[in-house]
Amino acid sequence: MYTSGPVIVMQLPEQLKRAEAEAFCSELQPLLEADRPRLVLDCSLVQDVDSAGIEMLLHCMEETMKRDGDLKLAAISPVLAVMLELMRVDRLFESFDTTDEAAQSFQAFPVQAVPQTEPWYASAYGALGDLKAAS
Amino acid sequence: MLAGAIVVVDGEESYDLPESTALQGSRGSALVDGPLVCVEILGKSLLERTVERLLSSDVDVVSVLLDESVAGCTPVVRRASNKLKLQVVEDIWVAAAQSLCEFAETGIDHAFICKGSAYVECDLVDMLQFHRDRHQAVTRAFDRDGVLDFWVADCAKVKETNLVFLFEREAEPNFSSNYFVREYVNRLAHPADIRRLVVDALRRHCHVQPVGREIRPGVWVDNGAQIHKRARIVGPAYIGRESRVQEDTLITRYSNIESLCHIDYGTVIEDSTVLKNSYVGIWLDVSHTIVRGNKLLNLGRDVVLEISDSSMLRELSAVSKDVKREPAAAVTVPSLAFAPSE
Repeated sequence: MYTSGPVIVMQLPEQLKRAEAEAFCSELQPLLEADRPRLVLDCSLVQDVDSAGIEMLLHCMEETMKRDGDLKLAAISPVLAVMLELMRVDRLFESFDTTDEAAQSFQAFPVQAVPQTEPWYASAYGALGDLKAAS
Repeated sequence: MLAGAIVVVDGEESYDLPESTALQGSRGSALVDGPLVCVEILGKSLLERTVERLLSSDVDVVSVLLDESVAGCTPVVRRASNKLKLQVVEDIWVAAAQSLCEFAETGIDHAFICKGSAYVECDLVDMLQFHRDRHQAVTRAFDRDGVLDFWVADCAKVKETNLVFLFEREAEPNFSSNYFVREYVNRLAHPADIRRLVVDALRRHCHVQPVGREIRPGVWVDNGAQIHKRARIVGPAYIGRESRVQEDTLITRYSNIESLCHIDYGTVIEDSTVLKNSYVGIWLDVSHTIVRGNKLLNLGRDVVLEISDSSMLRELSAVSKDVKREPAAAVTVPSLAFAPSE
């Protein structure tokens, strides 16, 4: 596991069946209980998965969303992709080609992009504000 | 036509799995155990269809030689005929040479020899005439993609020779000595070729006719199939013998459900093949896939997946309780009561 700013990236194991899914979920549990958890799961190693593994992913996503966070999948292996499609849950997850892209997607609207010294609408309505003040 | 035919089905791997599939296969998940020619497609195996085509072309004797290793997965050839001889043999090429000798002794001059590694539809009379005109011992067929494992031989001339020489795969096709097949050819080099064959058959691009009745344009249903009134079958599609399709399912886009299958509630089968004796669980989305038992080959991603969860996919036994025990009245559509097709 490694962190990238506030985004936590974790690697899914090669086998993702009931036993592995439970072990992974218990490892992930403290992170899921944080405020606004932002998780990226690196799925590149997954070579064997069953319905328990998919249920675990759904459970993790549900937990993160309960706390206003999100869970994204990165580098999905073909085996996992087939299983997600078969169980019709592929549309529920946001997925990316790489973990970097997934991590960056959490910061699509960085705080720095909006100047904090003046109201957010100042750039659009600054001239109008001046006009109102003058009148 | 005074000619014989020898159909050879050997035990060698008849298709090459791609690298990604082979990785999965290393855990024992190759999709089909035997030759693809023995797999039931649209109600009959291609081996059975080949034999029937030879018999209907007035070939006098058809000798089917099965390697010992594939005898277990070989389908029954249902057409009874005194012209047909089935043999399980230890060495197929020795047996083929013996068959040629027998043909020669019984006055049969020429024999078609086809290896069950490809499905070839060609004009046999035209090919035999081509062979006779050239006065050569053996004439090999080829198509635009290269040579085919399909020959016509002069029994007297080749009976003493080693037949393995016939199978030089690198042989370059030659228009003057090889016969060019203009009709349909499917090389069955990969399980994906099963899908291509199904699509071609349902589009009527070849002579493979689905077994059963066409209840609506493009929708074929075989004897004893049970389709719930709330299931949607959008043609072209095929539902095999004694298969069950449960409510709220959708079968569409050239999909075929072979015999004794069970497609459970709410599942979508799209552009896919479900091979014989397979159960597909509830609320699944099976697209661009071949399913056999608890294994599936996704053609889009070229991946074989073995599913351990039996509520999703599993193999039904030949006399499955899943299919037979439940009350049929609940799901049988009265209008689908068929007379035997053969």
